Order: sequence, then structure tokens, then C-alpha cells
Amino acid sequence: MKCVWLIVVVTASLVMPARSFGAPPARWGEDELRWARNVEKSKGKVQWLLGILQVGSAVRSELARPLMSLFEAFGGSLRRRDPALADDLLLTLENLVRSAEKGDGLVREAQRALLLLDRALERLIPPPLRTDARFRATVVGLLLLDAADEYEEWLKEGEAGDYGEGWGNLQRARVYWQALLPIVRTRSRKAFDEIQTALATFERFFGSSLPPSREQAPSGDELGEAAEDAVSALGEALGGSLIQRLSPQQHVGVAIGYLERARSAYRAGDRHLAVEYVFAAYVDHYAEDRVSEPLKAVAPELEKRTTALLRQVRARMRTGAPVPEVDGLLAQVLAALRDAQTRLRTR
Amino acid sequence: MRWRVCLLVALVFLGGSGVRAAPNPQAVGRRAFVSNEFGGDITIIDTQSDQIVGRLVVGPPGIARPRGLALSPDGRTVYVAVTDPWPKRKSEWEFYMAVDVASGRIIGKYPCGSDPERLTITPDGRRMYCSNEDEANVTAVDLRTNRILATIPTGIEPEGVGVSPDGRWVYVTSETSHTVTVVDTRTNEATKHILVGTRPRVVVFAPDGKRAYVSAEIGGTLSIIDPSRHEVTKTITLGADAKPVGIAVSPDSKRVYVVGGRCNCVFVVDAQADRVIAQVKERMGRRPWGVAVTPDGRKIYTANGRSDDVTVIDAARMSVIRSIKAGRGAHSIQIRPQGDGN
Repeated sequence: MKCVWLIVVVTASLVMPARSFGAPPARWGEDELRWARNVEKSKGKVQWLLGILQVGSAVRSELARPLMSLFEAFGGSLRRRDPALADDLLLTLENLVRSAEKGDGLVREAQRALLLLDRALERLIPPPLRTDARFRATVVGLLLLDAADEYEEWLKEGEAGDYGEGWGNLQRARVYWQALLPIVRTRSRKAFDEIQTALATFERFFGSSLPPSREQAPSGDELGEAAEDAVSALGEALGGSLIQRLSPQQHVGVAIGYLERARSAYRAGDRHLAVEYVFAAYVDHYAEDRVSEPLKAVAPELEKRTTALLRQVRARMRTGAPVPEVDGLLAQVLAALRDAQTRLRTR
Repeated sequence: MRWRVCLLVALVFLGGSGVRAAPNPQAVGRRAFVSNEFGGDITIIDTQSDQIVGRLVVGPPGIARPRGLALSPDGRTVYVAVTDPWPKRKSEWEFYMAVDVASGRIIGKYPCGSDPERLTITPDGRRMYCSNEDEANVTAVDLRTNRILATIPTGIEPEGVGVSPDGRWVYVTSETSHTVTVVDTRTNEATKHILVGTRPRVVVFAPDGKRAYVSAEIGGTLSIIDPSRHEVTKTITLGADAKPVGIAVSPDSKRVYVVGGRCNCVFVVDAQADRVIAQVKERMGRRPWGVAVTPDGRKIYTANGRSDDVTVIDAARMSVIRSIKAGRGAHSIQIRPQGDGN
């Protein structure tokens, strides 16, 4: 079972605000969660590169390159808050990729990247939120769901980087879980045990930083189930569902919102922020089972056109294309998505 | 061909005392079959006494993975979808198996695509359709010759397969596309993809043929489809954390039973009012995946994957009567139609 998760996280519930770590009740939106998720995924990825070096394996540049794409998921917002840090981090990630190409200096660059990613998280996520139990639990849930997903992807395609991303996500989820552990244990022993069991399952699947032979690798069914169990148990311990799964039609609605934000940002001259919003629209709310696959089933031509337009607009924004051209592409993609919204309507 | 490889499949029928025992022909009509995906076997239960009357060894535990089950309309043959836990390994454990119910004899093992998960038999008993999760298709097999008739593309990650009582339509759920593919059995072509809840798992037609029901594990819903139009007419919300999977419909088509894998419960849906009228939770086994109803509609059985057992529910009182130990990783359950051929 390959599972690509449909995730959008809503504003924190006020039913049972978490007062852990002495923090006041916190509220957050999807932005904070996608920043935390993507910064942590980046850290996990860097840790994985160090991990495979430690076991004596070479780090090829294609294993490091996805870090550049992950940076786009939060780089625009980071730049708005701290342009110097954004530049520094981007340069460090570029150096890291180059070090992988040359086979030299990777440890130094990776360690610096980890340091800067920590600082990026501090700049993006306000202090009360960083220590909020529900927020942290939601990040754990997202990282585990993503890890299960990456495992399936690796099993299907055989790309070591996918396995590595899953392995890295698990390391980051573990760090977050350590801080949550006392509060969850106090609130629900059953939930605590269930999460520990789920993490033990993850450890079995990601026992080494190096992927095993795919022929020896079991199906990811158990892993997907473990991730779901952990998410449900975290919610039960901390007062309600943490992650809301959207229908394809709802995903389209959120994607449209991000693209409208991208248009405003691009018109205002903030290319990096616009690219970040398109990333969120495409990766978090369109790709794979979110919209693309169901749309392919019910309206294949529309799916083909929408996917091509989204890729095109992202590419043109990256190169700094003129505003009227990007505006025109966005108008087309928004129209296609509104059409998709109608086609994906269910009773 | 993998299926041609000699298979070390043993067949053992065990009585309650663990002694080999021939199946009682009189009891054949009362049997429930439970596939145990981690135990590599099938537990056979007498639904009158609720005692285990046999165990069918499919293959080595942890290697042979029996999951989907289907019974021939005359109840003489049980079909089992078998795979192994390693999707990328070339394996001899990838076939469907036909077993003679009366004797317990394995009739044969036949290919039906990659990673077969669930299957269904047409009401005339002539064809089987099995979903192939890895390949995004469903295979139509002629059961007289055991030859593949057609391979029909579905959505991504097909799983649940159901056939309409008139045999005209086969519905196939696809977990990643969130769709049900409609297959016309006259042409063996996909005619439509219906969007349902997020990650649909199982599809079951009501015995009267007026509706099909689809569970959506992540969406936490039960979609109702009108087979005359192939359209969703209503969606019933069961809860985001319920994780509904297995579905069974009462013989009179008035009630629908949906098992919730996460809530460890059975939702009882009134099919006339289209609402949940009860939720059976007390004394339920853990992680129910499969569910079946006896032909008289009096008892409901759930196959529980985490507690390795079967829960028996009194349908009138909507309460658990007992639990029966099954094998490791109880997955699916099928109950033989009563009173016909042995």
C-alpha cells in the first residue's frame, strides 16, 4: 500500500489547550506547520547525509540536491523575517551540494546547515508555539506520516533519497517525541504505549541509514498503520484530532488560496515568497493523491493541463519572468483548478 | 510462471482437540472462513456452535500471506488471494487458491496478477475478479479454465472488489485515487470512475442490488452508490478516527455493518434511514478488518487483526456474544451460504 497523505492542519483546537512546558495556549495556522515540517525535514535530510557518511558510504550530489527544493518550502518567509539568515542558509546548502559533488568538506557544511536550520526555525516559529505540546505533537504526526510515505515511495521507485528522507523524518520525530514523552505518559498510558509501539515499528523499517535491498524489504502496510496509530494516539492524549485530512475538492480550494497569495507576492516583487506559495499549492495540496491522481481518474485531460501549468508557473517564477507573463499563467492555472473543483465534487 | 512452481502447501483439518479430523459434511453449510495474513493459514469456524472445526495451512507463517476471500455462489469452493510480505521479491507466493469446502482439498493455485489483495466471484460462479494493488488493475479470470480473460486498468492501488447481484457490474476501490472503478462485465472494460471518500477500502453490494457501499478509511465515511446510475447518492460520516474498512450487508438489505479498525467497533447503519443506529464496542476484539453476516442475518462475525480473534455479535441485541481465537493477523471473513450443495 503506497500512502500519500492528505494533510492540512487547522488552527489549534481551543477545546483543550496544551499548557505544557509552562506555555500559554497557542494558536497556529497551516503556515507555521508547513514551516516547521519542512525545516525539520531539511534537518532530517542533512542528518541522513551525515549518517550515511558515518557508515562509510559515499554521498552523491543527487542525494543532497533535494535540500534546495525543500528550502523553497520556507525560504521566502524566512527571507522576509531575516534576509541575511536566508542568504546564509541558501549559500550553505549550495555549498553542501557542491561538497557532495567534490566528495570533500561535506561534514563541515552539513554541521553549519544544521545550525542555520535551527536558527531558521527560531525565526519562523514564535517561542510559545515551539514549546506547545499540541503543536509539537502535530509535527511528530506529520513527520511520521511523511516517513511512511517516503518508505513506500522508495519501495516503489528505488530512490535511496526517499528512504533517506524517511529515515531523517524519523530522527526528527524522535527528538520532538522526547520532549512530549512526559506529558503524554501522564495524560494517557495507553496512548503513550501505542506511540512507543509505533516508533518501535518505525525503527524496524528504518534500522539503518542505508536502505536495505528492496527484495528484502517488507511492504509498507505496517508502517502506514503505525503512523496512523501514532497520530491518533497523540490526538487522544492531547485532546482531539491533530491532523485533518482534506478531500480532493477541499485540497483544490486550499491550493487556489495559495496561488492567489503567490500572485500577490509576485506582483509585489517578492519572488521567493511567491515560489514558496506555489510550492505549498503544488506539493502540499495538488500532487499525487491530494488532487492529481483522483483528477486523473475522473478528468485526465484536465489533470494533464493543470499539472503542466503548475509546473510551468513554478519554473517561470523561479527564473524571475515578467509579472504579466506570470499573471497570465496563474490566471490559466486558477481557471483549471476551479474546473477541477467542480469535477471533484462528491455528495 | 511463478504459480507453476511446486508449492509446499499442506492442508490440515484439526478438531477441537487438535486431532486431525475429517470435516463433517452436515456442518459444511455452517462454515465461516477467516484468512490470517501473518499466520499463513485459514481458520474454519462452525457458525452454529462457534467452534473452530478446521485450519487450512496456506503456507509458512510470515511468508504466505492470505488476505481476500470469496466463496463460490454454491458455497462449494472458497477462493483465497495469496501474496507475500515483500513486494519487490520474485515469489512463488502470489496467486489465488481454490479450496473445496467439503473435503478441504486444495483444487489449485492460479495466477491473477501482482500482489493480489481482494477478490469477488460473479453470481453465476463463472468468473473471478481480483485486484492487483501494485499494478493498478483488476484481473478477470474464467473459473472454468482458470485463464485470465482481461486485465482492466483501475485507479491507483486498487483494493476492494464487489460484484452486483445481477453480475453486470464489478466495482473496484482505489486507495490513492479515492475512486471506485466501474467495470462492465459484458465487455470487461472500465466505464467510469466514481469519486468517493478518502482512501476507499472495501465495496459491497446490497443483496437486493439497489445499492453499493464503500468504506473510506481516512475519510471516515461510508459512501452509498446507486448502481443504476453509478453515482454516489449519500455519504455517511462515521468519524475521522474510526478507520472503517470491512462492510457486510444483512440478507434483507436493511442493515449495513461497518467495522472500524481504530475504534474497535462495528457501526450498525439503518439502510432505510441512512444513519448509524448503534455502535458495538463492548468486548470487541482489537483492530477489526473483516466482517460477515450469517445467511439468516442473526449473527455478525468480525475478523480482528490485532487480537487475532473473531468476535461474534448478536445482530438483534447488537451485543457481543463471544470471541473465538483465530490465527495471527485475522484479515477477512466469509460465511458460506447455508443449505446448498455439499
